[in-house]
Amino acid sequence: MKIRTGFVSNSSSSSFCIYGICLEDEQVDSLVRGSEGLKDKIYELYKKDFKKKVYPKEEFFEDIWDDLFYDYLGSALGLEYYSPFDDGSYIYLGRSWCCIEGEETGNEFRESVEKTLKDGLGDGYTCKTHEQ
Amino acid sequence: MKVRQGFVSNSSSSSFCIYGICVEDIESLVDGNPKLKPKIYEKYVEEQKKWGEEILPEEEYFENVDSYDLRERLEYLLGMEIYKPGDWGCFYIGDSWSSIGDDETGKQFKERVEKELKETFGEGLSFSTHEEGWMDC
Repeated sequence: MKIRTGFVSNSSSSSFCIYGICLEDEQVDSLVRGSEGLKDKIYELYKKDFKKKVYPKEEFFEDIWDDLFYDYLGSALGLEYYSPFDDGSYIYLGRSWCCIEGEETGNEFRESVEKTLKDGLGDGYTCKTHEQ
Repeated sequence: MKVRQGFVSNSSSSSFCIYGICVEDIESLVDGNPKLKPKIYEKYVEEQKKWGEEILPEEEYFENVDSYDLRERLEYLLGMEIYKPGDWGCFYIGDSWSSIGDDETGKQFKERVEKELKETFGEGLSFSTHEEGWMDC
């Protein structure tokens, strides 16, 4: 899968303070490549967005713009994503601290992010607060 | 007169996401606050004694103090964070969302910040989430 870089979205320039994980683009590539379920979800989101003209699944994953892909990845997981560097080397996935619900505690907030990531990407990811 | 700027706080970081208030300048906020001024001066005296430096009379101290110095002392007294992104814009005073307690809800966090700031600066404050990121040059 080739993730094309160079597309600039708001997520590249804004600041953020999330609880979640930071991944290198190669890690994202391999974890999506290894999960047909995740690929299906991402492809479904893409089809929903581009109703009239859609590329076949394999072609879509061969040639997708990075920010568009990360946007779909975040949506598929139910999390926010941020890619603060222009070269797209790292992406951050998680939830903004300022979006904590009124009746949600700090512990519940962390647990919800950890569970969402575990359900979507599996074990082996350590969450923490990332601020840029 | 030189007012020593003795310590570095987290507020020098290049981004923040706090719940709190935004004010044009903190000098006027402190100037019109008879409860706050003695506490700030007390903290100044305590630090001057600790460093073995000259202690100015209260009036002279407030005539010469700069906003950076006031900011540091206010941060200490409030137990909150104060940011001024670059050299422009206003001062943001509040608590970082990521400092929310393990068993504290989002609502309780907001109420705590509002109560603390209202007790210090009075009613009529406008609270919201303030988020900024900038490059230190």
